[in-house]
Amino acid sequence: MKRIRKTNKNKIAVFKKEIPFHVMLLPSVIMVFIFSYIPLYGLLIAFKDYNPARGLLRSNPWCGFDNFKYIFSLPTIDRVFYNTVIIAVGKIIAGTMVAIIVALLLNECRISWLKRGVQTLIYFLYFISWIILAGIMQDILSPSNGIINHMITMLGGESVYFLGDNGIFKGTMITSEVWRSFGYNSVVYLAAITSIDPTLYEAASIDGAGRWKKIWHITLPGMATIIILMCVLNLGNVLNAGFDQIFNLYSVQTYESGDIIDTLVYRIGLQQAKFGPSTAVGLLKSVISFTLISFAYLFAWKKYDYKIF
Amino acid sequence: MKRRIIVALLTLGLLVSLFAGCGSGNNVTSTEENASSTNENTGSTKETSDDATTDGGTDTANLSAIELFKDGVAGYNYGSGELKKWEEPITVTFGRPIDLNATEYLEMAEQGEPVENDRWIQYYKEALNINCEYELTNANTGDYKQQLLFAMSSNELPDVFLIYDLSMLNQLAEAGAIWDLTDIYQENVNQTLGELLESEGTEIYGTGMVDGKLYAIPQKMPSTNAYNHCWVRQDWLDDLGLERPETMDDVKNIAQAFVDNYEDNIGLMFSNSFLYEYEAIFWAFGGQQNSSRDQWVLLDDGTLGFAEVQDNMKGGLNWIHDMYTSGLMNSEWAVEDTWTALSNYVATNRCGIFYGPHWYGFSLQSYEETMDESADWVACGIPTSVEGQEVQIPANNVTDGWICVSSACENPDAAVQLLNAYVEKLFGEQNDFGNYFATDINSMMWKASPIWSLSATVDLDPCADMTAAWDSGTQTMDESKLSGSGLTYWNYIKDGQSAYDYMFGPQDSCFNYVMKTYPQDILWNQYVSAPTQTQVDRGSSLVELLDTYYLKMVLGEIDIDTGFDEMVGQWNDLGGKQVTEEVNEVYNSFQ
Amino acid sequence: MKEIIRTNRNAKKIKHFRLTDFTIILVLILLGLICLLPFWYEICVSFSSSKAVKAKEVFLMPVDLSLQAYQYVINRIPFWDSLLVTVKRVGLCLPISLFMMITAAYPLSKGKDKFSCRTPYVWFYFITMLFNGGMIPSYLLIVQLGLLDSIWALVLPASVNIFNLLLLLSFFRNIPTALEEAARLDGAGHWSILWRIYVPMSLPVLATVTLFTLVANWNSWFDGMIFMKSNHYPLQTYLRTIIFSYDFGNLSVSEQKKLAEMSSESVKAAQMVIGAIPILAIYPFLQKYFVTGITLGGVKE
Repeated sequence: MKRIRKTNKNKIAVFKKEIPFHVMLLPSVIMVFIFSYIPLYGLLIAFKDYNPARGLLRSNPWCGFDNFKYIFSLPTIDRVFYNTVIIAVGKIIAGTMVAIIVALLLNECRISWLKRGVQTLIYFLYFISWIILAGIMQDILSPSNGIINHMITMLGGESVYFLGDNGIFKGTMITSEVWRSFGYNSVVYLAAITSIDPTLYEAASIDGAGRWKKIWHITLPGMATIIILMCVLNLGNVLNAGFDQIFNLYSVQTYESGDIIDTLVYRIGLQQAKFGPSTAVGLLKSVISFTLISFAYLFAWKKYDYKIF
Repeated sequence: MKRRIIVALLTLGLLVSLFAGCGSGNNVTSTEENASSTNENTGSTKETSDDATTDGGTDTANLSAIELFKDGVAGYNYGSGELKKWEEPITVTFGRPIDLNATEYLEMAEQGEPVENDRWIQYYKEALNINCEYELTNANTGDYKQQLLFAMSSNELPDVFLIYDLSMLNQLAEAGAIWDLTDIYQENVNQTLGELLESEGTEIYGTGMVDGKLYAIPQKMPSTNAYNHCWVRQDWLDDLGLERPETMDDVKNIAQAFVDNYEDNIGLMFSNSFLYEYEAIFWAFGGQQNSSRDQWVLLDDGTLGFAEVQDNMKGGLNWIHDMYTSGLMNSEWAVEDTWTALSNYVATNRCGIFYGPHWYGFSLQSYEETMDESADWVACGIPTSVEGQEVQIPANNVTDGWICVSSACENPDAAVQLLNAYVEKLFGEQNDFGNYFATDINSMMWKASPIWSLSATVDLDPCADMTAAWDSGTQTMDESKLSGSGLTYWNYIKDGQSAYDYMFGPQDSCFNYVMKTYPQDILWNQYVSAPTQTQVDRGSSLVELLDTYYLKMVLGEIDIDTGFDEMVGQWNDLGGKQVTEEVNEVYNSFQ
Repeated sequence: MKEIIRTNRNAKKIKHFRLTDFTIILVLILLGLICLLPFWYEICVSFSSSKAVKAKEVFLMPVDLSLQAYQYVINRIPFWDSLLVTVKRVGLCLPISLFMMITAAYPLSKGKDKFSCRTPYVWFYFITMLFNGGMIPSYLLIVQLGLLDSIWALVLPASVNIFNLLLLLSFFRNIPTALEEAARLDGAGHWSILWRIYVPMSLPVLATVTLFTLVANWNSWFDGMIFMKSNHYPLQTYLRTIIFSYDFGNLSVSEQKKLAEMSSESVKAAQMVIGAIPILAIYPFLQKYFVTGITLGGVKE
């Protein structure tokens, strides 16, 4: 009895002590609650025969899992999931590899002004919207007018339909995403390299190790943790193939190889006014991503003691 | 940790259901309000309709929408030139796609006539005592549609708005968000409007009908918009001593000659949408694709079939495939949309022959800067596959959107009366066509009104007018014989607006060909009702499927004969069979 | 003898090093060019006459130098209107967003021992990263709040960004506790510790978050399309309507005419360049902080 009262008292004391924290969190909690939580009721649309003209949600009848059935009856649904995963995983793998190599190169560069200059250039792209980048890509990749194909033909090759050929559309998407973000991604790896104990290198030099040996035996093992960690954390992105990019670059011709979950959600939702199925696909994606991310974060925490939050 | 995740998930579930509770809590009241207001509305309709019949003194029996569809308006409460003027001013809000910042509207505003209060709106105020206000506008039709969807979901529809997508009409009607206009239309339509709408067939009402009721009034446009033309560089033909194309073989030979004789020439231009550059080729071989991809044909067994899955499409596909393998088209057609292709090839003198509708004339005009000075485009009639046989042109009874009236609108009859007033001003006996159709500042003054409807011959008239006043011997125009749009357009042409010459000019223009073939060579679409449920659900997937197969067949990835059958099979499985059944059901219900 | 061998070896080594160094420098320059050239090309196109562009004469330098495209764009009133909307939006969102995220990141950066309710709060934010109700409910919410077609519809929903919050809180977490404890002994409360110690020490991460917020606000177009009427579109939404939205469905002749006019390559390029200018202008100033900010925030050594 006494003990309980004591803990209660403790709890009140703790709470009092923590009041400033709650107050500090209040503004953002209110914002998040209003703008992220209240609209969550819209997820119910996934289970309704939703007609926007009926007005509010209540006036739309339930339809169980009909919307999900509809989605899985679409002939294109398999390829949409397949495209999403392939493009997303391709982006993660290629992006990580290029970023690591670039970080190594930057680290090995001895001319500091050059290093800074190159860094400025390669980080910059990350901040340009896909609307503008897509416009640029359409210009430079055009098979007839684009400078890229101009160069290919000048070198004796045949021009390539980067944005129209189903065989290479995925490749174009992956490459252009890597192009946009390799600089930004390399920042983390560069930081990991800088945090390696310099005495290790000195010791290796004394042992007569060359540059390659040092990279192989010191730098890469030193980065291993962060590499694995970044890969694991990216697990949550395997269903994010990049809406902004693909939406602005794909066309009917490349639906076969480029249609992804997010573009499908957009098309059946806003263009065809079928919000039920559209919400259902979105919900499905959220649930899968949530599971994957939870596992990834759990793994990162247990194994590397890395806390995201 | 696992336990914690589960707990968190449960919390999430709880939260979601909580908000759902809140949401639906709110919903109850507002839906009830909504329902009651709709009831009130229907009440008031009856009142107004009673008034109208007693006031008008005529005893027009209101026809059901199906009778309207079959026979047209039976009798008019308002004769030609008659309008209803409200005693107290009323305000009506509008939704339509319009770019309020378009150059012509900015220029109008500079001259003291902003589009929000232009001559049309002043005229409505004066003639009907109606104040018109734009509530929902967007420069882009696609974005307008999205905004409308959102406005639907929040019950914030404007009083009178245009829709461009009939699947929305189903949703709106089913939810009771718009007025049933069957009676309102018949009580208020005046003779000028009724005759104008029905000029190419009373079936036009079918498109605005859901479940046998008229929910939307079609905005009539000239069906001659459905035409396609074969555009050729006359200067090159002359250069090489060639004749204008009359058969498909001619087209191929001309393309071949251009490729052989001119540097970097691509031959015949195509784009990645199987529309304007393709349809006339299908027509030449009897195929009936139309540009809205919804043509239905009456088959031998008396049922309707979708035009694009009929065997007569194969001829066109074979021909295009042949052009592809012969290297007589732009090799990148699969990644170029129409505008890219036009500016890549036509604008840069790399293409001397292509198919396209009349309004490509505007593009040609805009490329004058980069085209050879000698470039001389002419629009030829559609070449045929069998010499001497006229090509038949599949067409819809064309509409430019449909007018809907929100069930929250208190004066639903205003929509019809406004349309009456509109057509009176342009096509009635007391018309002022010259000032309201096209002016020097705005070549499309007719579209500066919140709603519109044009007569079937509005594009033909200026061309006929100019052709009649044209002396082909001396190549001069007798301007005294010109009037109306013929005169306006001739002034544009003299002003250097070559687009009008390409489209409506007195010789070698698009409408010269139309004059010769309209309406006897038109094949009207046999299905003119709102899309059926499966069409709404599967429509875009079905078109996507066809496009994918067309692409493969043209590229030669699959054989056309077997591929076409495979395509039809898949089309049926995907919902095409269902659509066909539904379409026939609706069709029969009207017979 | 021994010495000679050693020097020989050294000489060889130096030579070898130079070759690798040279390759590295070359590859890096190449990478930089890959990022720069497409932009440069676009700038050249925007300053060239449309005739030269169509004739494919433009490569690395503007041909037939002309400001026509820019004149055309700048004379358009809607362009300036939309620019103003974007500027307003950025100006409002930045301070609000920074304030809310700083105050939220501080408590969350405390361990569970100091802030017992930390975990539920963390989950509260985390979930919003993955689940959203979709466009319709968001739209209805904005309507019910009466924010439709108001600048706040663009500012408020974007004011808390979880990713930026994460960056901030990881950075705060690495600030040595000794400072805080010293301040506590002097009787300072959490509020003054946050503003007097944490914020001044977090300049790099604050600069980074500022950069991200600016960029996100500048680049976003979807919310503008949904929440704003077309005469109040922000810049990117407006740009999108003229760069990408081709409208074939409607046979309206004036739109076709407009399109024919607008499809001029240099006008398109000019608009893309103008759309990127502010970022080009701000980025170099924030870039030096950005590396420290993101690494200290994102990576715990």
